[in-house]
Amino acid sequence: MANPTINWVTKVITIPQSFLTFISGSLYELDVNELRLVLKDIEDDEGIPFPDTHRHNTQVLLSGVTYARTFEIINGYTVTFENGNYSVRCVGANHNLADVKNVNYVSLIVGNSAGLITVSSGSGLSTEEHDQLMALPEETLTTEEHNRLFRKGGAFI
Amino acid sequence: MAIPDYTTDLVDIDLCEAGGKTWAEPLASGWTLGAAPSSNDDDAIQGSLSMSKAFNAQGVGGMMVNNGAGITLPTDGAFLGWFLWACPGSLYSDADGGIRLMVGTDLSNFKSWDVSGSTSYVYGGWINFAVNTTIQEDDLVGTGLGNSQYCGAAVNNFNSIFKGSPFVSDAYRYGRCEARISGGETDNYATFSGYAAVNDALAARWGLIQAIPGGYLWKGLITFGYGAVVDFRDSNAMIILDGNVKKVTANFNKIEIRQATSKVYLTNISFLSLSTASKGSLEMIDNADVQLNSCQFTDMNSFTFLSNAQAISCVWLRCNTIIAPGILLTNSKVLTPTVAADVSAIIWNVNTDLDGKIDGMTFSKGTNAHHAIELGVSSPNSLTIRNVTFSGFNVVNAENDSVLHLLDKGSDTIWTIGCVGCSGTVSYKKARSGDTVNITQGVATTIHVQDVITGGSMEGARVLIKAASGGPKPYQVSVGITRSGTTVTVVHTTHGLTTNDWVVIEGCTEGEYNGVWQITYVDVDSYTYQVATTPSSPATGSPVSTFAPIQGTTNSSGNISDTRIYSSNQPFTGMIRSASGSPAYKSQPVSGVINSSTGVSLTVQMIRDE
Repeated sequence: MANPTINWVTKVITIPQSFLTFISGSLYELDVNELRLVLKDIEDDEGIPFPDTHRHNTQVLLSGVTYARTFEIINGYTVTFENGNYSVRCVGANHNLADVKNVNYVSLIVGNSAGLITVSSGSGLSTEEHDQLMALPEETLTTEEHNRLFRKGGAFI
Repeated sequence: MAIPDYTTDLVDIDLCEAGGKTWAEPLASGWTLGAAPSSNDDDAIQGSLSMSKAFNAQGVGGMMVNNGAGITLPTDGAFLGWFLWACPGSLYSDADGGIRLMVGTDLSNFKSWDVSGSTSYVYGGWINFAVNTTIQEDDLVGTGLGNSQYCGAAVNNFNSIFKGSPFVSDAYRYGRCEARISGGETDNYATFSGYAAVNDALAARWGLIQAIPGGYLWKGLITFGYGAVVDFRDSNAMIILDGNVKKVTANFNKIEIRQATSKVYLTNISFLSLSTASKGSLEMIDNADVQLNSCQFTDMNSFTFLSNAQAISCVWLRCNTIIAPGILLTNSKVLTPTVAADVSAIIWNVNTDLDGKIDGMTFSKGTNAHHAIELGVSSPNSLTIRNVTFSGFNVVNAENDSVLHLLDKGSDTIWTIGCVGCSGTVSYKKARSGDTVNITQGVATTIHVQDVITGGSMEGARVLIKAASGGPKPYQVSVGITRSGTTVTVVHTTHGLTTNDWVVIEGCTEGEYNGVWQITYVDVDSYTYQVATTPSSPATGSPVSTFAPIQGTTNSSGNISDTRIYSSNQPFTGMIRSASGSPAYKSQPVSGVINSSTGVSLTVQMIRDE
């Protein structure tokens, strides 16, 4: 297994395919937390003079529910998966890899799962979700569906 | 190169072989005891025959050979003669001339030197004695030396020997007594053992570099690079300067290194001088490549190096002055030298800073009131002494045994000498009254790293502290970068850095040049570092260099520190990271100011990032 590398000039983090876990067919899995630890290990060695590659907030237990860790590539770094026709399913943390991924033939299955979110403008719904909501007669929604959309709209924030 | 070549300048007087020259007893009154010498095929040390003499008598008797022509000794040369006495307990003491070598005009007119006796010839055996005829004789017989046509040996015996012929002589020679060494090539370097094998051959037995148990017995002049380049490399050996060499000039025992392209690499070679008459010295005649590593020199005389030499982790014990024109002497020790009062153990008379050259050295004062280091007229006015220990010297300035001796440069000079991590007071004596001497001590930058939760010290945390703007050290200075092989040369005008300092290189398009690098000083405007790859050269982009006083990992106490001199306060920034093990920690940036008088000490709390 080869570890990710960092080009400090171009700020490109390259993830070799062998760093991923083969699932089946063309599907591979990336443990985002494992990626984080590898990046930190590089940072405290050859990367010592360079800015942090990422920001991390660990998982947290709130009222009996464990909320997932978050992992955010920062400071202008981008991520390139070793090119090929395969998909990468991300697990282990919510992350912004889709935002910083360099385009090639690798497709990314983000796997993020939102809990309570902060909305600074609008309803917080995507256009698609908004259209779906508007298209439905109110009486067709179950109480659970109603509450989910209501929360997603940020009414509790 | 060529295969090693081992020769000598010695001229045979007589080898005591068949058909050789004539041996006879001295005719002078008081020197005639014992029988006439005769050829002996039982006891030769060289060749197959020797000359022996029965000695059923009490008193002085000897044997001398007629060279047939006068002999002129080279400067600092000697007559060499093999001697054996089978009954050492019957001899008078050294002081009473138990064993004597004679050189003279004939059998009635000669000089004699007391070379040994029961005092030092305790166990007997073959000894190769040396005599230089300019040395004051112990006995003048008749008209004395004359043309030195005759030479030989005598004993002063107090107990008649009834059996056999106890007195044996063999192989008399003369010359500068030079072991000439040249040649040497890969897998066949010139070595001490190589010379000894030639020296010790039965037909030779020159008595110059002789194999003995555990090492080699040396006397005379060793010339590395005689007439041609030498590549001499040897290690792990003991060289003993023959203690039986008593009647020679002070320069008799000497090592000379010749030919600028010669190489002399000695590793863990110990030289021990047992000779008081000629303690042995070393002089580089040509600026060859001389590398001494972990060598030890005991009770020897002076050492004269040229700039291409280096002597790392070597020890000089009870030796005389070392002339070191800018050579690398790191981690070496100069202990209790024998230099005269008001003289220095090391002479540094070259326009090269001591910084990086004598780091980690130890000086201890000898019996005389002497200095440790003399800074000559060519030395720079501003120098740094780093991590050097001075013990036993006078802490008061202007004394014969103050640490530094600052020579008169011909005009009033301001000396600025920084001491970083030194032990012992760095005192000085200046030769010119108008000179101003400023000696400053380095200040420490200390970073302590600990876990914010446990408060425990963190070992192995990576710490980078680098200069920020507004201080005396380089901060993002534009530099030029080129590469040859894996050596990167940075042109950095008046960088003020020294070997083993760290710099942060940034801004190169070729990323392999960027990073934190430990440098090697080249000159005031450039330094080098090593890279693992070979990026294109020269570097493009906008390369800049920033000095980093600390780059490394914390010790078991959670500390990492650096001591150096700052001409003014130095702002800094830095980063501490620890993620190689578990738990991992969040990056912790730091910043502050290194006070030029007091330094700085920071404790950094690390937050876990699990």
